[in-house]
Amino acid sequence: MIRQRALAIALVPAAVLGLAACSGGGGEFPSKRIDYILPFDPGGESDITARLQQQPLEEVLGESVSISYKPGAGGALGWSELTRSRPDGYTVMGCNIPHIILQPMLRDDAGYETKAIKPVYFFQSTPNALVVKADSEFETLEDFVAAAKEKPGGLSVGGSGDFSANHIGTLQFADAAGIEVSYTPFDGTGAAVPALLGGHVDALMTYTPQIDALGDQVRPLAIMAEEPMEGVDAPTFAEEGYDLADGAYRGVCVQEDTPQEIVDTLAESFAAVNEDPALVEDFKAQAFNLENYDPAQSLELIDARTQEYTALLDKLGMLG
Amino acid sequence: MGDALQGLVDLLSPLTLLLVLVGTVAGMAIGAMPGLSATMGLALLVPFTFAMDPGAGLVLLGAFYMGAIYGGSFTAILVNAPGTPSSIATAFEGYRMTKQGRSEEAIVAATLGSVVGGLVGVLFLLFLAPPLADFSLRFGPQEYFWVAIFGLTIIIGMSTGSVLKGLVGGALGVLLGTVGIAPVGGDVRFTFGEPSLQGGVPLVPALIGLFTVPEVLKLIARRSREFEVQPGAEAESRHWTRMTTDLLRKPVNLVRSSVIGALIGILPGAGGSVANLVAYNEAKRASKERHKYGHGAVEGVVAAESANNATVGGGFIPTLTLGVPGTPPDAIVLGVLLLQGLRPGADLFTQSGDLVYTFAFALALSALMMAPVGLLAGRALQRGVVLLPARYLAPAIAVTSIVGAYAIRSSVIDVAIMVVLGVLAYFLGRVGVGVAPIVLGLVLGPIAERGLVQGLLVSTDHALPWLTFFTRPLSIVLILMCVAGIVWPMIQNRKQAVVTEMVAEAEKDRA
Amino acid sequence: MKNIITALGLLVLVASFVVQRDYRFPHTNLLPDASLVVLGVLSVVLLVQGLRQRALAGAAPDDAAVDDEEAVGLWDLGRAVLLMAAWVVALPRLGFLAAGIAFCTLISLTMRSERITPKAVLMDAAVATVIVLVLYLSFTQVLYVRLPELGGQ
Repeated sequence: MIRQRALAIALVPAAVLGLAACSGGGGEFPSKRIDYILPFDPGGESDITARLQQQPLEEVLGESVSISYKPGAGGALGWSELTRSRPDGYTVMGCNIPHIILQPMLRDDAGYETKAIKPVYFFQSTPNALVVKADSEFETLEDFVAAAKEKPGGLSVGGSGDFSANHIGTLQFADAAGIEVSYTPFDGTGAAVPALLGGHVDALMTYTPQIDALGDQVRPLAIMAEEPMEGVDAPTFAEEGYDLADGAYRGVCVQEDTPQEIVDTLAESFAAVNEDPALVEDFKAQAFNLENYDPAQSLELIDARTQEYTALLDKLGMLG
Repeated sequence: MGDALQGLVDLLSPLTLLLVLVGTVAGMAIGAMPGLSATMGLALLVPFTFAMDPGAGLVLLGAFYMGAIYGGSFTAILVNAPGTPSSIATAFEGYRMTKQGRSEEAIVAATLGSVVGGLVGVLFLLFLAPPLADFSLRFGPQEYFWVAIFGLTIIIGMSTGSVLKGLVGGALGVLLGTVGIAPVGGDVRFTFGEPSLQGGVPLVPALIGLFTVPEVLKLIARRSREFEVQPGAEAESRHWTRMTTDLLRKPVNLVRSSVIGALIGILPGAGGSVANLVAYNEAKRASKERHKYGHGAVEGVVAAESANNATVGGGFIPTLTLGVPGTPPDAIVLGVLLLQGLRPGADLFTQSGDLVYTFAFALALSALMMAPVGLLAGRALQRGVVLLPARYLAPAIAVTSIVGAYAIRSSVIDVAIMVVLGVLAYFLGRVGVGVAPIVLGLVLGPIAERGLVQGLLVSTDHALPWLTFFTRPLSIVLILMCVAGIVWPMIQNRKQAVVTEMVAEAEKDRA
Repeated sequence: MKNIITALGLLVLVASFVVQRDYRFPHTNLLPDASLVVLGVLSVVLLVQGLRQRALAGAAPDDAAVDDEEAVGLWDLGRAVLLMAAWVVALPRLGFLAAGIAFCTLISLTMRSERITPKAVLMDAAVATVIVLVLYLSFTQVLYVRLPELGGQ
């Protein structure tokens, strides 16, 4: 009996292998497990988002979805691997704006080109937010700008990593306000927080969910959202006179040669997942913004951002 | 207090107890596999916790985490495969003990250390969370830099042979750690034109490569183990209860290492990897039998294991009170807390006290459960490894190393890096450059660099930013510790040299 | 002699890093440059030490004690290294399962000191299959970690 079962278990991978070999011949998509790969370490915003989507996604697709990780080089390792993966839609990778735009732009060889990865759906965003410690001398954004003008380069702003939304957001803000600040990248959103709370940096360019998570330990000065956010007691940058609305956009991408109908099927599935009431509720708990960019709109978003960033970085002389 | 009682009552339901047991056992299994991190295992569990109520989900995650940190000691001891930086020091002494046929004693020591460490960490979490969290905030980039340097000073005490070769190993490790994208600044460095090296030398494949692969190579080349298992030896050896009481006779090491673990554990980002090394080094420094270290000192295993399990409770201090995850696994627990609508903060203990206490008690209970489960499973595993013929042990370790190096980010390149480093480590070992300094450099180099560059960037308002590394009060304390770390082993080495000389003289006289 | 070879090897490594020095952003040069300088200096010291020992002791072997303990023949070692290297090369092509079973069996067979009989081959192959299959199934089916399959991807 036991031996029979062992045999049956042993046959499963063989069957999967066989299926995989046949799947090239067309037919319904999807017909086997989808690999949802995150190019980051587990535990971050992308991971939490993917874990929330996993179950509803399985229901919509009718196939199991496995989440795995391929971290390294701020995501670049995973994305360059994606460009070499099979264009069959079974390898879906989390991808973030602005990372996928800025890395190829600012590194000599990031291992991939932005256009070599095909966006499927962008479903979540977290706008940038400039926050200071609760007992900081800066009450408003105006205070901060005034202090920065007084000692150029003397104020330090921490954020999550290089070439991230926090990084470019700090550059955008400094450019728009005509100030000079020192941006210090930390190892992720969480790692930057103690530097602020301990008074080692003057302010933090972080993401809006942190305002909620850190509660009354911090004071948000302004957020880079299009409109004021529910439950966030801070003005937008636009309201303060700076026309800035940006943040991190999270979505999924596939290899660029993936057939359009497969991309559409995947996009529809992610769109349907975004309607799931439980997921909407959980997104709210994490203070994530729900976004709905279909493949075409995602491309437009990437194009628009690319132009914006190119102009800014060119002006700052950062494009080597 | 009412909350604490309620937390205890909630925990004592049969279902919760079962969850703690399942979590601990599953965690141990994952932790024992090199390459499968606690973080990865926790991420797999998260969807299950969605279906549970908040308390049960947290209990499962906490128990799993505690078990995973302990499980790492098995492979470190038995086959020299530390699955995470947390069990590096365990491998130093534990594997030597295995070579001497004392693996059972090492497993018992690791179990005892883990149980006590886990409990001490939880005590810190329960009673000292708010003040310790405030203290951890005083560590800025400059202090992180000095903490890493302090860790590097361990190299000097550890180089038994030649200090020069120890330093060579350390510098080599730091250099290897600079490959890939710079941790701060985003520069692409030393990739030899190979984009897949942009991710740097991945830590876990490197650990397996440096520690385990040379042992596999030796096994294959010799066609046998370095030690032969004598069937009689098993029966002669002490019973495990005897081993435990022997270890308990020296409680100072246990308590000191646990406290070190809990305290260093509160430092986000550095805690886990540094704590076991520092505790090991302090145990060695305080020991009257220093010469035993590096040759299978059971106290070294106790120190490393009690420290790394104490970081579990310590790491949750900033997680729960500040919302800052102390370690990557903490980040996952934090995410689940947020999903359940709990907001970390100093008032979490008062507002959602019962839940927090249930969680803390679950960690403690899991630590206690590790004793019976670990002694059963750990000793069974130990017997299995000892009795397996060398010709099956070698391929079994090899295939486990390969799958472990691969799984961490599904990359064949990582497996290649592992083997290359393993061969390199073997030859360096033959010329007297040990792997321990290389690993220290590899682990601590990036922490030091982060602190260094961030410290310079945040101090742009100073005329001379680098001066801030020497003027902050906490930095000065750490600098003094670094100096002591360099000078102390030198004095001790000299003393020892004098003693050996005297012994030699005396023997000459007798002859 | 060993010290001289090690020192020369390290200097080559340092040189290979030095030629790649190219920093775009501030401060990213500090730690790598510092460790390059330190390692370079230490290697030179090691080289000088080795040369002096050689000059002093003539052709007398240094570190003889270490050598005794590590007495592994070059041929045996080469075999071990080759097996591991070939395994890694085969991994993406043959897949985890096939490569694992093949190389585990091979390693077991080369480690037998007695004559290899067909029975021994069967026995070793069976043990290898069990070990690899258990790992394969627990990773792919329980932990959802994808492992390399036969024929790439």
